[in-house]
Amino acid sequence: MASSAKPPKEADVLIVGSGPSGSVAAKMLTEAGMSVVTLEQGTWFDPSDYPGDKKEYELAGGKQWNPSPNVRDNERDYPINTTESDVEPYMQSAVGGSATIWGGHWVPFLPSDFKVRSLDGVAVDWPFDYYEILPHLEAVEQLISASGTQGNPGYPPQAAYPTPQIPIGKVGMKLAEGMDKLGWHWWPGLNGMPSIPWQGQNPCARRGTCMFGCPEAAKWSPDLVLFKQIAKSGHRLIAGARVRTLIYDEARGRVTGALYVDMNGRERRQLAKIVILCANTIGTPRILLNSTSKSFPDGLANSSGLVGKNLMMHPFGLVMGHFDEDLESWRGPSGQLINTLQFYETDEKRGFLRGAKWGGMSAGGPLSAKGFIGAEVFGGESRVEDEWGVNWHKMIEEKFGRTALWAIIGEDLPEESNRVEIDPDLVDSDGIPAPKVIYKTSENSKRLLDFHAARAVESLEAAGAHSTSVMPQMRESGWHLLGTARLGTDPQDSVLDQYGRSHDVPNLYVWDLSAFPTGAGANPTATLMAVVHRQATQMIKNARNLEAA
Amino acid sequence: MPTYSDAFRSHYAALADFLIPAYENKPSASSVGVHLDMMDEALRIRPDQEEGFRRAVEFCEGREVSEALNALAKEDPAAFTALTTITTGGYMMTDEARQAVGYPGQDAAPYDPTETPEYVTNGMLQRVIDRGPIFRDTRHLNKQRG
Repeated sequence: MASSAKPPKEADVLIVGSGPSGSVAAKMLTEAGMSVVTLEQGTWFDPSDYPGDKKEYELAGGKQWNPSPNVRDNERDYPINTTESDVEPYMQSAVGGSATIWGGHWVPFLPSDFKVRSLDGVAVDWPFDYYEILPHLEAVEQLISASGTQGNPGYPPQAAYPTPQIPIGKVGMKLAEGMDKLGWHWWPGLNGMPSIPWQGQNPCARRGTCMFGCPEAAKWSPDLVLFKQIAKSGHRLIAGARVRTLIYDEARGRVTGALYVDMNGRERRQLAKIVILCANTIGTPRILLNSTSKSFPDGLANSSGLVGKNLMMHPFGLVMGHFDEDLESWRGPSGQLINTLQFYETDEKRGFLRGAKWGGMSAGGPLSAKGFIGAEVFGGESRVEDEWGVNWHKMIEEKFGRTALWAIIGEDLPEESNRVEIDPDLVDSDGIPAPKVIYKTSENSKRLLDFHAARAVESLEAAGAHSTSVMPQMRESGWHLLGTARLGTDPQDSVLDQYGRSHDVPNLYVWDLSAFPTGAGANPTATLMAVVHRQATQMIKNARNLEAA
Repeated sequence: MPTYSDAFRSHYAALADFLIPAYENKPSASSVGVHLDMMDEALRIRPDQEEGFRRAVEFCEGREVSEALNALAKEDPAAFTALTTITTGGYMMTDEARQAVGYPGQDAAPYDPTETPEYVTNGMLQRVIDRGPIFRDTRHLNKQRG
């Protein structure tokens, strides 16, 4: 586990958060010879505790392994006021962060995602482009032991993946057949997990339980290998450390570290020359907005007023096809079996801008056969007998094992009104003020999802589905949170410069998804890790000239 | 964990069998012990459902099952959800129910990652490649800026 050595009184670099962004930063900066301390509010998870290989898997997924901190309500989670949000945000508090429960879907952003203002006249361009990110993407694909098939015409050419393709299974094949009949794009799923033993990770066993933790220790997450490796190089990870505020030195105009509450409720201080926030798109603005001072009465690094603003959460819909044949549709990875970028790019004739990626996935166990369980099935004059009794058995017979689904992830355009604030009343278990999320799904997102759901139904019917079910814009879907401290070139219109450094505080950085100026229509972890690789490369290259406390 | 009387379990068994009766090769809920050890196991895993579950069973006590469950679903949907969650959760953890629906659990399926996939041998993937790139390139934007 973590090094037992005492952390230095003043580290070269303090990182807050140990998920995909914090871990890449920690690895690169430690290996470059810097003294690095990472604070993580969560604790270590043991893969043998994950429910995926146990009979209780689906039942436990509804509470203690639920991706919503408001549902889990663990002591290490902080509550989020979501009464004014259309979408429930998801995350995990653990060493490895939300990567402990990510799906492993490795879907790099496309070239157009970095230039939406130039191409489509909306939102903002990024200060760099896809081609600058590509070598960093290829580097992190090695790090995470990716498995996949080279040559996807959905992207510019790039290097091969370190491990072979995981089988797409009967569900993937069925979905691909529908796309083939229509002449639409599809490609075998690229995943953040190896298909063969690789770099200390086990091969994916196709249990299909990725989003409840991987009991096989196959799906990449930073706790499995990365933090154990860099502990040997002197990296110090402090788990159970909940940051209350950053420490700001008014005289020097620099941050000098963080105040945090340890597992025993004691307030502690970690000093550092440089601070990098990787606490996620809700956690990072929460820390900044809680860190007020004479110079920054509205939150640290917030002269633009944009800290917490422009929250993006990908609009998410499910379209399921039900087939006559047994597809073994509980089988993973889950993980994406295949995906499509057929309708990813803007076509204004559709009545909305930008697009979505669809991930072809398995449908889960018998309790997921319907997509949902419980009283919500009743509306109007419906009776219990319509859904239960013999009809419940018939529903299981019809759908369980015989369902293929498309998970549609659309682009959410940034709007300042969608935001993270500090709730005036809510606090976490250490008394630290908790966040409130204010988020409304836009008209563009609704039209986008409607269009994509209709096309997904067409593809499932082409594949031979005898019936389909559509679950548009689910509230329980906040897997991807982006944009609340965006990077850019203009300090009036962004919080960070192109390297993720605060315009206001020269030794403060934000390297998590908060920094993303736009969110694309794809799972963001691949691009997040690639961008952090770029930022850390620059920091190492420029180490002699860095501003420090 | 609270204890439940035999009478409570008996009332619950009737509700559970209404929701999940015997059908063809599928066992009824009570025949696989949904009201006995599986109830305890389901509530151990989901203690958050306990209050609603108890409320649901007590709501239906002494009433005709169909009438009671339909009233519960409308008047206290959270309790109805707790009842169905514990019932289906307990049921689907039993070997008998899993065998009847053909569910081995989220098992580890052996595979050979070096095996050539069917979508390669039958030409499906090649047709995707042959249709050519579909992404919008952006390199012209850099050239425009010089």
